[in-house]
Amino acid sequence: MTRHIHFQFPLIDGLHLRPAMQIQETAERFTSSITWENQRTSRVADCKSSLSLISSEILRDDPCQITIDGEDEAQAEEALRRLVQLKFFGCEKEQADAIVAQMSGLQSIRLPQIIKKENPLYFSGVGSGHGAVYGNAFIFEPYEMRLSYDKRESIDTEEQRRAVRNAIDVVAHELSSAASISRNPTERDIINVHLAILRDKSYLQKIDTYITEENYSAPGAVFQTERHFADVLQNSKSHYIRQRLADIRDISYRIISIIEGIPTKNVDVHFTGPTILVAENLLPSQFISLDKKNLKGIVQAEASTNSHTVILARAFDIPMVTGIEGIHHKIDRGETLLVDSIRGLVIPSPGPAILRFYDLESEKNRRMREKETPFILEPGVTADGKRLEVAANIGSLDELESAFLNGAEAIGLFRTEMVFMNRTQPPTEEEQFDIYSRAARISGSRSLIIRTLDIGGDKPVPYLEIPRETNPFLGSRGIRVYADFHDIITVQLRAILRASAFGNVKMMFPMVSCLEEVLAMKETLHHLMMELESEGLVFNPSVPIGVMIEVPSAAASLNDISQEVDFFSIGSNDLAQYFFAADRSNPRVTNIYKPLFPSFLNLLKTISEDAHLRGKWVSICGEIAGNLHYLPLWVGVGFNEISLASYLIPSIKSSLLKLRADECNALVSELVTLKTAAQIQERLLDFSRAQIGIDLITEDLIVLDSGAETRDEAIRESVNMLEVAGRIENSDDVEDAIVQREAIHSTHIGFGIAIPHCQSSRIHINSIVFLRTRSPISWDGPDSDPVDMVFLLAVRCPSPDNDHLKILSRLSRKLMDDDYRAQLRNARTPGDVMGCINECI
Amino acid sequence: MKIVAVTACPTGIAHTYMAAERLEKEAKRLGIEIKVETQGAMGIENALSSKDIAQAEAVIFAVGIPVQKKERFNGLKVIEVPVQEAIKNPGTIFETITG
Repeated sequence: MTRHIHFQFPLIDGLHLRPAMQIQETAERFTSSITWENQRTSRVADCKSSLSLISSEILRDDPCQITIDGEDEAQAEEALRRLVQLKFFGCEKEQADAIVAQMSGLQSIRLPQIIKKENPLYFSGVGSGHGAVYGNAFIFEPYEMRLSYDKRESIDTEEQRRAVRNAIDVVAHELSSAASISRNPTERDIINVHLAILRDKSYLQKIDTYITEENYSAPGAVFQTERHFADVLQNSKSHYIRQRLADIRDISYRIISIIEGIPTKNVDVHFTGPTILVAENLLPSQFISLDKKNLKGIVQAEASTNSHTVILARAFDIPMVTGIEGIHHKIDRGETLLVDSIRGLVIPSPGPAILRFYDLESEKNRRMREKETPFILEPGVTADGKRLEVAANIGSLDELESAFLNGAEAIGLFRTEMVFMNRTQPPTEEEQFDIYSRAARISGSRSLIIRTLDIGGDKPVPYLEIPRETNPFLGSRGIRVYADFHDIITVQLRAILRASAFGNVKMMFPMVSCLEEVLAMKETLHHLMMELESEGLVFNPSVPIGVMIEVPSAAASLNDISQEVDFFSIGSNDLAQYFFAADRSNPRVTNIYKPLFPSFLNLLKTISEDAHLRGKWVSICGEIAGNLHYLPLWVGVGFNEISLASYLIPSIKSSLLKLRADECNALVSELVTLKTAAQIQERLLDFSRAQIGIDLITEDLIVLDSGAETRDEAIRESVNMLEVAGRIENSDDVEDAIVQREAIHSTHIGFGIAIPHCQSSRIHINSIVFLRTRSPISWDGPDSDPVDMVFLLAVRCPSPDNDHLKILSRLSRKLMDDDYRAQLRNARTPGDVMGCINECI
Repeated sequence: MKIVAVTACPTGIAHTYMAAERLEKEAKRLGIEIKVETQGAMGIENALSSKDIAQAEAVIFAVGIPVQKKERFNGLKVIEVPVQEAIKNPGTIFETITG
């Protein structure tokens, strides 16, 4: 009788050589046949061969089945079960490390192969910005602030008040003139935030109270006020709110330094060469006064992903890594530093191999940017001129600027939940008006869709007492809670209406399931507009109103709802979840929750057609909107806009330019006639591949004078080329797979040729890269024959495509031919190499 | 003299076919009749029939992973080498058979 063991593979790095060897050793003790099936890929491996196990590409969480068949199967099952239960195979250290890293809030860093090999001292934190920079460390010493101020016996209250007023005037004047000369909109906006603090009533009152009631001197009162707000804000659970502390500290310190006569511009140093600034905490005003000509990067001890300093650095394109505890004490002045903001990595005194790695990286990034930059500020449009507005989803004002820098044509979804969460009282109308109107001003003529509060039993908020529900997702959420919290919603609606006078504001309601809900909201809006008018407050009386299509019943009553609203936005996550009656966070039903089911695609198409029939505009703003592979669907379905995380915008726009609307229309018409999700998936993949080209190799994957000096550099250069060409997801993953394959057996085949290769799910398109090196490189150490020609073969997994495999097998055979190799060695142009390779096709 | 061979490697996209090519070329040079079955990513190709195996004097396994349907070769003289050995030094393999 056959025995089976089922489990999900737990190791973070997938099944690598070490655990594979242990499985082999265990399996070999038994005579039974023991196989391991990776049910994700349907690959079956022989447990008595570690190589066979590794080749089956088992990744973390892959469903696996071990099958044991033979005389001693009972004992074998017991031994293998123990291995599985022992979590796993003595590799728990790696897991423990990852858990510790997760708990301490650090990202677990996976180093690229070349850096791993160098084993340098490094620090890891959270990166912001895109790129790696190199320079000499400048250790930033902050303001020399006193640590405390004592109360005085007696003070001249008026004199102290005057001192504060004067200082505030000076700071306000400095800030205003900085704002007037700033050419960076983000910088201007942040300076305005600081000016607002200077005018803030409770801030000014607090200072005054400390002077008049507690006998503090002018600087002492400002200092105490800063401490007061620090105590209040520090306890906020919201990371976002804690970040605002830095702004208050910044302003307070500036006021104090004016009163005390401490020079404020103590960061006004002239950096003599490329410089990396290392600080415990860099305040926004300090950033603004920095010499940015030579400032290449910033490393900060304090963790902050959302602070104004981080936002400013991003706006000035200066890479930054934050959250490395005590870093300002660990680096010496003048020490060379490498800052990799993509991986959140800081490497002191990097060696030549690491610098060469980053040369390759910056070349890759340069080429990627070169491909994308031309599209960033262009409108989203297909190759045949069909418009598809590419907009951004944001959750806070801070994300607005980076959305526009990334090329957002509009804000398709401004979620307002963050305004309401992590506080004990609902935000006031003024607070909300301030946020929404600033967003409207920054957006200008670009459309800004503000979605009203989308909250319910699944997202508890202390002052919104929503009773516990057994099934919150089918309970009171979104627009359904508005009747219970009429006052809170009224405040928000008034704030949005008032903001509508300052830009192209649109209003959208979440979780609508029937016409009645829309009618009720419209009536409320009508009353509020009359109210505002009687109060003499301005607003846009014809502010466009839209609803989210998340509930299938709303989709079914689209014709009636259309008569009452101006636009629709599809929340694809919830719509799919309610349509399929499948909780998207439940892994047991993920096979049901698939946007590629013909039924769902049909639903999207119907929504789009119905809306257009009524002359209404329709967009999609869920997670799947940002999936590059689905882009042909959104064009074909005919959406007016897609709205997604802003960092995805450049690549979406450049992919859009490769699509033809007529072909996408035909594709969707064909897809809706298919019967299963698998058929749609397959057809869509074929279509996408045809768009990028299905050739295994193109001239841009051929380099005849590579400067690679080592095996790892040659591999890295090759995978980077694949990433630039959009053929793989990310260089690090594919590099890992290739180096792992290389570790089993070198792929140096003699004749000066190496054929590094791998099969991986991270590969989109089967590819060949051909690299001829300027000087021969050592592949397996100094004693082996040098290599001057590298064929890197990257094959998709699963479903590799037999035609491509045939070509690769023919090429492999051809490489055994002396004349063929001579032809490749003598090729003068990439075209010559293409000629050689075409012989195999 | 007739020889059969099986080539296979972990990924099954390149070495399998290089080894097959080298064994075929070397056999031709030595005037030996050979048939090579490849067990690669495309599955089994140029499959050896029971007739092929019955006529052969030996079988070469140039492999990096276990041979599939290995029982077909029971009773036949087996020369097993790593797949890259067949690519780099096919001559030596034939010497062990003929010599």
